[in-house]
Amino acid sequence: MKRGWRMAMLGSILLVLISLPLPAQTREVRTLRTPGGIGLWFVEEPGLPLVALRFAMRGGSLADPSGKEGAGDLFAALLDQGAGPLDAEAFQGRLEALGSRLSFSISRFALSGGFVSVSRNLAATADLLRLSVTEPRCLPADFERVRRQKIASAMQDESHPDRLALRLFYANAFAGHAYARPVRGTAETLARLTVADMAGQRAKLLRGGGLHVVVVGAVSARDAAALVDGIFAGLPEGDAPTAIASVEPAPVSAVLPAPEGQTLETAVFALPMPRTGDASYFAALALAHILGSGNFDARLTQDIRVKRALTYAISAHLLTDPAASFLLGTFSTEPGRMDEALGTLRETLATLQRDGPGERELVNAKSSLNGSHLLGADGSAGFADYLLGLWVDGLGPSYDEVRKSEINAVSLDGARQAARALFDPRAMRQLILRPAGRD
Amino acid sequence: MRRILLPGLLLLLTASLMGAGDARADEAAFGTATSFNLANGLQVAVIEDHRTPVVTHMVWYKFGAVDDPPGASGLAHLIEHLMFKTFDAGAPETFAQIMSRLGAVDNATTGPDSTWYFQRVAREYLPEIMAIEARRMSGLAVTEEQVATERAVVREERRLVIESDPLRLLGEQVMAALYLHHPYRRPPIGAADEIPTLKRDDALAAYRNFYVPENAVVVIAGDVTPAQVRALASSTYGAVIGRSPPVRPAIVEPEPVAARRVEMTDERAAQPTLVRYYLTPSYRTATPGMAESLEILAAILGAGEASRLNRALVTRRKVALLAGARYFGEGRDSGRFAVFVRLPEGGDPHAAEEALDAELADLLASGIGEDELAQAKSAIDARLILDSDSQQQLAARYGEALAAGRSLADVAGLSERLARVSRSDVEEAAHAFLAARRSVTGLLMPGPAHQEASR
Repeated sequence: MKRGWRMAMLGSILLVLISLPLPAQTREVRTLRTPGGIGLWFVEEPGLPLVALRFAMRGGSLADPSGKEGAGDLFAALLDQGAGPLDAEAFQGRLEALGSRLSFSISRFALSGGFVSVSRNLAATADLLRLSVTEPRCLPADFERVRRQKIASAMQDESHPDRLALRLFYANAFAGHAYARPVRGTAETLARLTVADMAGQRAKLLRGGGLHVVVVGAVSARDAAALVDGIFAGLPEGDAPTAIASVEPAPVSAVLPAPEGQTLETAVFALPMPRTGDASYFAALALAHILGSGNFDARLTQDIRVKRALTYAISAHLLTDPAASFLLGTFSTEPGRMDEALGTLRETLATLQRDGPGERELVNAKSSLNGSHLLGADGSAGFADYLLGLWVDGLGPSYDEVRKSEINAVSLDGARQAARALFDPRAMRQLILRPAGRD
Repeated sequence: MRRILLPGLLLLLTASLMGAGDARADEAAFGTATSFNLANGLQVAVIEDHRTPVVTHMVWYKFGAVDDPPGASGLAHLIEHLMFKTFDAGAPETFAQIMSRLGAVDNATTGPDSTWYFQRVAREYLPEIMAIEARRMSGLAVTEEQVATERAVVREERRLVIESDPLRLLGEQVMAALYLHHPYRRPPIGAADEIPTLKRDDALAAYRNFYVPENAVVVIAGDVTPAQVRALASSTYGAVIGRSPPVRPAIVEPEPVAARRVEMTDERAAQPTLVRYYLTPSYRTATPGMAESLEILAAILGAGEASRLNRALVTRRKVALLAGARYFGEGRDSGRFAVFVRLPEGGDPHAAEEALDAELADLLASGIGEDELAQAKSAIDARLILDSDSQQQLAARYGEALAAGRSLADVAGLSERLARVSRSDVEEAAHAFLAARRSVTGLLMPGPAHQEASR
């Protein structure tokens, strides 16, 4: 142990001597408009011979017809199942021969997708994406096949305690609001979908009006702009209206049966939080981190996992989007220990509300939030995803600088005030899944 | 596989003299690793990637679940957990607190052959990460109470990850049936009855024996140069006292003689699933070109929706929702070739298995096409380039191979070796290894509730 200490000392002395030069500039993002009028954020990265392209079109699963939840998700999954002259098998075979990765997905607010391709196959991959978004096929046989896969995975979600608990929490806490509707649907809502519904989704979702594109990779700005125009020029104009009322989770406290055969009890818990523009938003972000980052020193991990071994993992995160902002957490525990775990959780909240964060704790949370911000943005594909996420959230390409200065500006007093207002254990919403035969 | 080391002082001198102008590394193609050894035996590999101001740092120990003593499965896994406990009682900050303060993404995994720890951080934090991880290489100290807590956490992890997932449970059974002899048959996470009996003294003894510089590989990928890493490594890891680790015997699984079958019914399963493993060599143990041929065979049979198994079982015969194949060739002592079929609810597993067998028989009888071969090679090559986009995947590719006793050149040369594989190489590999006697077939059937629902 002595040696450990000596080494630590040695280490810190040397750190002073051999620290790395200050952080390099993050990559230069050019904000462009293509000759065809499409918004493009572009980063040229020679080095690896590949190009990542990501796009988003405003209008997501909020456009699902009522009772047909999962329509947009199924539609997105069908976009790489044949297009133009290619049937699904030929399309996938082409993609595999190119070795490119093409994907589509949907969230509440946007349909998004894109590809990563090696440079030598860039034009051919871009052409597949063009076919997907301008001439999707959606043949009945493919529709049936993909729908069966979606139903199977929806059923799997129902037998997975965490996922079932989250779906039921949304259904209960946001009853009557678009938020209650599952983006991926359920076995029942997916069963109601028809090929005609897919045509409706196409007309609503595949539009050039709400389109934004990000390109990162070994390509020039001119070639990138031409590539983007070539892919998306054929889209109809306009965009899908996605007005949605602001909402906060209702004060629910429910106990529901766990999926058959499960032996653990699972809990979802939530607290309303301020929105992005609110004065206390960044204080809330720091406090949520202190409480529930899932790191070993997070208060929930310390109190519930480390000190009492009540669970394997517990975390809670601040979720903010254009319609809502709340803290959402989840954990599982052995049967019979849920009351103890929830009691501990409430005490942990009460302590944070009463005393706020420690001085050192807040300094560390700020350093952590800043240090971690770009960690998911490595590589060309990672950086393209990161940039697209900023656009979907209505933020600029240099948001990391704004975020950093706002986080650094959170004071201890401000954080204490925010803790008193926001982390009231009596305001906690909760939903428990309990295995049958226990109550 | 022991390396011959330069005398310590000489190596240290060489290291410090090489400073900034490491021209060879600067000229290396993107995504290619260079490496050096410290005097205490630690190997350090560096992969430059200056696109984002971020670095990924990994330490791989050549110590894993295969080293668990009989009756003490889960010991290597428990040590991995203990590494995250306060490792130096007098320290002002624990390991976890430091990671949290730096905003690091960090985790660890215990595999059959190795245990690895990784952190991804903003580049300016790399020196601190290296100093900290160097301390973990020799300073672990844990109390009985900490061990008791972590034993309970490991038991809970098993419950959550394995016991709540029928497919993972089936996977354990299939591995136990595939390896009759090799410790790969035991669950790396630990067996339910053995985890609670693991002892602090055994954990500390294994840690002292195996967690030594000569038994470890450090891989750093990201916005840093080899010269910077060399200087940092000498001042951090260089201070750890070198000791020889125990010799790990290479265990050879005897040639299999009988096809095996494992069937399981679980009410939590929604659909039937069929998996089959064939015992094969790994990249490290195969004759030249054989592992590469198996990699290509897996791509032709089951990588993606236009692969042979998907076209036959999903699109044409409609007996499956998904089908696939994959070659697991990273093991130190052995590999396996896996095929899997997920059926729709109420699907007939025997029809699916017949269709699978028919496809495999067809490949063995008729061989593969030249276009299929070319397409599989081009796709694997593109995959290797696209995977190199991620620091973590690239670092893990090198770390796993180096920890299994392979060389940097071996990893970097994969593309070229794949290019040399011929049709007859792939067909030969299929004939040699897709034999029933080498296989275990595992079938997971849904419980009564789901079977009734489908009627």
